[in-house]
Amino acid sequence: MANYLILCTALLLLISACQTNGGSNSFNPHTGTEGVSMKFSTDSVPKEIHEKENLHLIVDMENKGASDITQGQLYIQVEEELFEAVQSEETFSLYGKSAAVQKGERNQYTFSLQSKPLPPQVEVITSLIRVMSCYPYTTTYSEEVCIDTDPQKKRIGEQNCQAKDISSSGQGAPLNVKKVEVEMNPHENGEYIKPTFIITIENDGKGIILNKDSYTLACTQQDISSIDLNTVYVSKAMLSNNYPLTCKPQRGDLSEGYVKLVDDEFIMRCSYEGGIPATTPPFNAPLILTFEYGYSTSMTKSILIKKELFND
Amino acid sequence: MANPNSWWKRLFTKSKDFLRDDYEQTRADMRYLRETNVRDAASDAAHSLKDITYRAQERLRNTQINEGYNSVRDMHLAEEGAMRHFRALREVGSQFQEKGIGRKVGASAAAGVVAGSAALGAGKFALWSGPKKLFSIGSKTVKGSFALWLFIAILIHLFDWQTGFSRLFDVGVPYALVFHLFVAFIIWISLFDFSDRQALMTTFSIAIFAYFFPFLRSIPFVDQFDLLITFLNPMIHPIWVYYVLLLFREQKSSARVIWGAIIFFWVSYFLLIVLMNNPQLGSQTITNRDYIDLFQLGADWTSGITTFATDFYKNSWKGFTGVINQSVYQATGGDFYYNGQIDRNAKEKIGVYIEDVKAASPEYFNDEPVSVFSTIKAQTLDEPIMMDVSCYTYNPKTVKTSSSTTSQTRIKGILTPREEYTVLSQDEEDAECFFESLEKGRQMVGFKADFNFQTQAYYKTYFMDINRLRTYKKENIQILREFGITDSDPTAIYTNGPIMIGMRIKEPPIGIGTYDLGELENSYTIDKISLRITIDNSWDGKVTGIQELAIMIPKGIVMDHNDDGTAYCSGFLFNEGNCGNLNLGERCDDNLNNIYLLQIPTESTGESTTTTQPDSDASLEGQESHTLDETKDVTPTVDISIDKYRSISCPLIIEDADLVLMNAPLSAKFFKTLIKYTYSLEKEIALTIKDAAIITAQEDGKEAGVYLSEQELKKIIFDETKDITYYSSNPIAVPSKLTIEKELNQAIYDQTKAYNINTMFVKAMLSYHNWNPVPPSPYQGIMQIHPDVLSEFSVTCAEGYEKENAQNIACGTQLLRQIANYLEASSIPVTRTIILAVYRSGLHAIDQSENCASQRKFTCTNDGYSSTNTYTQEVVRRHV
Repeated sequence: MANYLILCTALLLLISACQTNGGSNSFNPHTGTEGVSMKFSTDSVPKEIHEKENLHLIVDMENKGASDITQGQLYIQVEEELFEAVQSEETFSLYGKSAAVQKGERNQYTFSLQSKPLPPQVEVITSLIRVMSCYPYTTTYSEEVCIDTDPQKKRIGEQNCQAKDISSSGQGAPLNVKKVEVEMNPHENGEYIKPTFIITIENDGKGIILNKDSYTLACTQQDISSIDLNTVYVSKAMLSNNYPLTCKPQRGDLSEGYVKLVDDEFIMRCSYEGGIPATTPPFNAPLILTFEYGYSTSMTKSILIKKELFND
Repeated sequence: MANPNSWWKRLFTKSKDFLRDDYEQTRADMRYLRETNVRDAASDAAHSLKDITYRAQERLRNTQINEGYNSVRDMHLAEEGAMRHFRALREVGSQFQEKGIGRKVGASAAAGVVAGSAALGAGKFALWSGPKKLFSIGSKTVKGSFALWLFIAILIHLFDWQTGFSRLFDVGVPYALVFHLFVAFIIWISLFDFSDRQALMTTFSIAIFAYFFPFLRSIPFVDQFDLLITFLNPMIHPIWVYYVLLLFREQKSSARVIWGAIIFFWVSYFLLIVLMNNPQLGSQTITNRDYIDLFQLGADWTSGITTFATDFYKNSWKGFTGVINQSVYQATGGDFYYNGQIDRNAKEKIGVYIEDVKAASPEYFNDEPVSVFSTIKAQTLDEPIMMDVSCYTYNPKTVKTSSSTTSQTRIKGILTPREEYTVLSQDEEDAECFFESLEKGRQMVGFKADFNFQTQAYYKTYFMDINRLRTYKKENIQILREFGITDSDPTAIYTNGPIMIGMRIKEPPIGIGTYDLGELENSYTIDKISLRITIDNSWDGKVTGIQELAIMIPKGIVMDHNDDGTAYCSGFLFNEGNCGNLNLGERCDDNLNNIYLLQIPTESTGESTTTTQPDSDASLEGQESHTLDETKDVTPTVDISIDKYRSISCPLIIEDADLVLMNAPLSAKFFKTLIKYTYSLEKEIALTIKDAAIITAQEDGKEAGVYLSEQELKKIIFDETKDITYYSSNPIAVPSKLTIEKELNQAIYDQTKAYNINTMFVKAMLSYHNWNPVPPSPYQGIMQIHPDVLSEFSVTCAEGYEKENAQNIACGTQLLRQIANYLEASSIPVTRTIILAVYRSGLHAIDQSENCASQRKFTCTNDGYSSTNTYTQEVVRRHV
């Protein structure tokens, strides 16, 4: 019996690991948790080269998210004892997915390197080449929520909708609005209700979130402070276009609208302070959230540099 | 005593009745259980009952009367087992009855547990009562679907593989460990009895092992063995699959087959790798080499295995002691030891090696020359190796007090083909060492190579601005992982050779720069780090001097120095230098490194060229004098020997953090150590020298008309492989006659090949007269040919054969062939002694003796052929 239970569990796990695309016909660009995908072009990166050999390293970049990028920075960092880079920095702009364009822009960037002579008696050395990208990005969230003005169900026959929590697996950006819990709280004025949304955001990408105003810092030696890391600017929090939301907590060391992720996660509470008359029939309205931030990812590649033997 | 057969029959009948009764009773229990909706429990109980019944009946069927008391005893136990489980079922039934239908849920669960237990117990019982081939971990057996568990084990391995065998502690939780413990728990509850503590311990131990297995490759000494690195790859070791195979191997033949295949694979793999890495090991059986006899073959095998085992032991021990040194010394606050490793990608075997030290003969006598061979190999990548090679034995008149015998006791041998080598890239030479004779007894003969060498080590570490470092840590960002760096604990990499260099700086990333304290007034600069270096002699030889020791550190970092510019590392004085001092050409860049050179005292005065070393301990004890070590290199050396190891600590100052960081968030920097030194390497072989006065007449006994074997024939005929192998060598030649031998080698080889006579046989004949005719004599030329014997066999030689060596050899070899042909045609044993006797004195010498029964004339002392007899014995003895 236990065996079959285990088998069933394993199968369930396997099945649950598979993702399906649903049946919608319209393309939704706001899916997934990837921003810019970066990889070395396989043809351009040999596993090993000889000393004093030229190498043209091609980096494939693709914007797999739903935000356009301008003024992204791409840096290559080599070990100066082993490689010399002709140029080490590139600027990139890549448009993202949209309803009209189902695939984000893809581009290649080439860095020219030359390996240096190896130290005496050293036959081989493994060198690590690192490429870093720093770019601004935006997460846009828009989901219908039910504003249940009669949470106590006192009115009969007016139940158009019922407030319920929403989970999401990504909005086409590394910062993911993972969960929205909807609460209809009583307002100070007893005739109103205060829609409140407990919003969980988290970094589901493989990089670091940065302050949008200083996103290049992660790629350079410049001073970087705590307020530059894991800091997200909530540029828009609206219920429909009529009800601006006020989000808390607001940290004292950050400017208004900025929130900070702790361990790649942050839970904020956004509510419409003005309140909605309780007499209004329950209705559906889009919850619109926009987060602006910088993002930084890096990748490395090991290359074996070999000495030209018996060349004396 | 009662008749066992009738007793068994009664017991059989009784058991059948008992089983039938209990079967009925259990069916009643099942009915009750069904009525109380405990279907699962009932089902399990039914399976249990069927199983018990089936096994018991099978046991009864299979039990033969002549099995006697053992079977009867087994039956007793079978009855008891069955009764125990039936009682358990009845108990369950009665409990349910008491608790009533309203508690059916709880009862159901309880029944499930008990029934499951009963089922497992029944399984155990059934197997126990069957053939006693129980496996398992401990003495337990398991019950379950082998295919299912194998599939699950493979899935588990694939999952672990998919994570890259990650053992990271994400947010402080070792997820992988939890996962493996969970797997162990599932296996335990599914396959074993709850009360089985041994199975519990074993299964959870497997989980712990599966978790820690990927760490094995990180053990320092393991890094030194490519074989181990490959073998310990977690990807190729599905630990849980192994465990499942072991669990089911007694029950499933397929498990045994797979397990056997795995074992076979690994054994084959190891043999293959060992042979690839140690081609000398056992090569005697697979290469075309000349082996004098079984003794030599055995000696070579022993030598190969010993060498391999010794190397393996030494390397392993080196690794272990490295770890122990480091931990113990650090724990006791004493000196430090830092490990390094050879780059596992490096394939070239740079350095100097003395290999295949081997005697030319399995035994020697004290009145004959001794010859020992070896192969000297040297390889370098950059700096040429200047090497002096010599060979020696020990003067038996001095006492060897310890393994480190002083060189005053040594006697130098004659080394060919040369003693001095200049190796630009790689060189290999077969060397021979000659001694005119050695004293009887066990004598050591050794080869010694003195050479200059250089070893380079580098240590890569990472620097980060201190403020950034603190910020990242504050934000719980795992810095190295974020930057794609997996080597969080760098190890120095050193080039192959006699010296190991280990280096260490604090754990990366190293924060440098001025720490911004914000509102506090006093900011401070992190500008001091310490570079620690260990230099260890990792070979068996001795470091006889250090010519140069350079430490290269990145620009922006300097050694902490005095006002006069001098810097000290653990008492050793260093001066600032540049690439020009190192003479490394393009392989050294002053723009990247600050270079510091160990101050070298001049050899002529023994004083330092500038400042003497202030630390008396800097000159290490243990250096031995070597009278044979006449170092021709006049380059000054530091008079230290590194018998064990030496660790130094160099205080460094970050002078320019921006230069170090290079406008990068994380900067990789190399610290390098270069040592140029002289090294002395030795390798010895033990020889057994016999007393020549005791010469047995062994060959005579074999010769007396009855000894003729293929082995003996092979000794006479030309052997292409053997004779080419020893083409340029001689078995017994007196060193003073070497020139003659070398001159005649070609002629001997050509003629022996032409007449199908063994080359070494002819050489043995030539050596009898030290490669010279013995005047006055009827014997002619270097081959000592008797004209009467020539006539007897109608051999016609070229004119002048009496004086011309080449013609004489041609003539003598032709005569030997004629004699051998005659003997064969006449059905006379074709042995070396008979051929030699005829060669020396004609056919009369091998006639039957009238004075000595069953002997030929030349072996009988009373027939006037004593010189011939001596000649045959001596030549045969010299013929290896």
